[in-house]
Amino acid sequence: MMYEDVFQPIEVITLFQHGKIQPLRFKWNERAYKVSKINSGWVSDEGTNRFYHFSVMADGPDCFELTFDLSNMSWELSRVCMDG
Amino acid sequence: MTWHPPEAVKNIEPAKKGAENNKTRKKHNTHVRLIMHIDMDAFFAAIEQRDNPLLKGKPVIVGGIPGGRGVVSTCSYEAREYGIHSGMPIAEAERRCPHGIYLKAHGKKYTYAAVQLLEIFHTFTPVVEPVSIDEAYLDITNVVQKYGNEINLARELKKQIFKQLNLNCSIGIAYSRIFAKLASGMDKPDGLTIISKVNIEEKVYPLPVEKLWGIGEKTAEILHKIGIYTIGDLAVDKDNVLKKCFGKNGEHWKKIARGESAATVIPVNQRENEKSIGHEHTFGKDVREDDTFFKMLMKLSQKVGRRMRKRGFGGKTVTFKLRYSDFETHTHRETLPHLIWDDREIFEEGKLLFKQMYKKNRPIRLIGLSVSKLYPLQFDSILTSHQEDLFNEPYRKNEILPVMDSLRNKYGEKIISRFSGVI
Repeated sequence: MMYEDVFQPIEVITLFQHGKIQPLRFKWNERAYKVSKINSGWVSDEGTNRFYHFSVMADGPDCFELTFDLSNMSWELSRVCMDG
Repeated sequence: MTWHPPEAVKNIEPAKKGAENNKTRKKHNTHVRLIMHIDMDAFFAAIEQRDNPLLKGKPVIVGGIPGGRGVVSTCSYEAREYGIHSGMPIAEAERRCPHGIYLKAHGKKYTYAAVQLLEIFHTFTPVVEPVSIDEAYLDITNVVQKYGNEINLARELKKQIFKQLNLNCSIGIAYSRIFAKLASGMDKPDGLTIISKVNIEEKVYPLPVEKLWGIGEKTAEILHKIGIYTIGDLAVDKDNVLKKCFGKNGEHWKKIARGESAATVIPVNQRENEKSIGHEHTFGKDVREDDTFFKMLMKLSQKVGRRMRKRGFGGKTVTFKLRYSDFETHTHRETLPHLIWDDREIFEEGKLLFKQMYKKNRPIRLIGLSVSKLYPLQFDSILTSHQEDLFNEPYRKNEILPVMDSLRNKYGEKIISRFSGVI
């Protein structure tokens, strides 16, 4: 098992509903991933800027940490944990 | 996600214990308190395992990466089977469990979970005293009736924590704060233990006296010499030796051992002001009196100063801690005639203390800086408490500091920093 810090901007199809954010699909390295499970979510602040973090499973056993930056409504793939 | 009561919880007999406690409560209606101590099980490691199912069932060690110099913050129960525990150097943990999964701590993530936990606690009782990021005391005396008994309340609390955060905790309930803490550690993980006046002789009295909060190794040694080995020995004090040998302290320990300590649960908003504000840093590699050292000293000064100003405090005593690579540790402090709250002044005082104690060229492993004797700052005192220096520093300080703080408030801590190069 290996953790890798990525911190790359990515595109994410997102559901904004009832004041909540939910990542549905994302694209990384020319490959599309479907989020199969959200393990957890947490919020962090940097000054007045707010970040929403999600730990998700997508297409298999690998685990991804996605971060939504509220200041510019953009997503980043922060970390990946690969099985094996 | 469904929650099932764990075996440890299922096996408790609420009716019996509840009835006993209810009887006691009726008898001493106004005196008997019920205090709950909640201790999250392997908190940081459990959060990492929750967030990454690949980590479940594996030895997870949070605190640093192999080859690094940190210490273990928390480890999963699987890692504890290898003898790893909090505070152990990562290198030693790696030696014991080379195939373990070593993770850096994600402070913001853990803090977020801790805030959520506090919110859950407050839905049960308003009297909540967090004592660390993963531990809290709750006074449940006045809310227990709503749930029937304390066991139902504890089960509901465990259920809510699991449902909302997917984490487990161990709970101890007792009529004294110290016993509540003792109880929460008796059946980890996922435990629920109750110490009542009925079962105290069975659950508490046989335990070694060192288990009692406030009895350190040295005190325990002295107690052993006078024939006191267990908490029961201390509580009974058969030959009345405690007062003779230890005076008031002896009486105090006896009370604690019987669960008669008056310590209560103090919610955050009723707490006394903090006594000191400080930070420590362990260097990734040993350093000497060089740039890396002074940059870190400035960073710590800024962290301390910022926290003091956020809370509206100035302080008079600066303490510097220095640990060499062989773990020899020294602490020096200096009390000033005036209050300080400025990063630069804290840095300068820290530097002076360092210069007094540092033995040239010895490699440094850790430094710590703290300010104590804190007093609330008032605007007048900011202007008049300190004599002006050659460069009108107090006036510049009063212009610069609020700007720096507001920049950090808006853009985060890293946006601006003092230069530590001119030293």
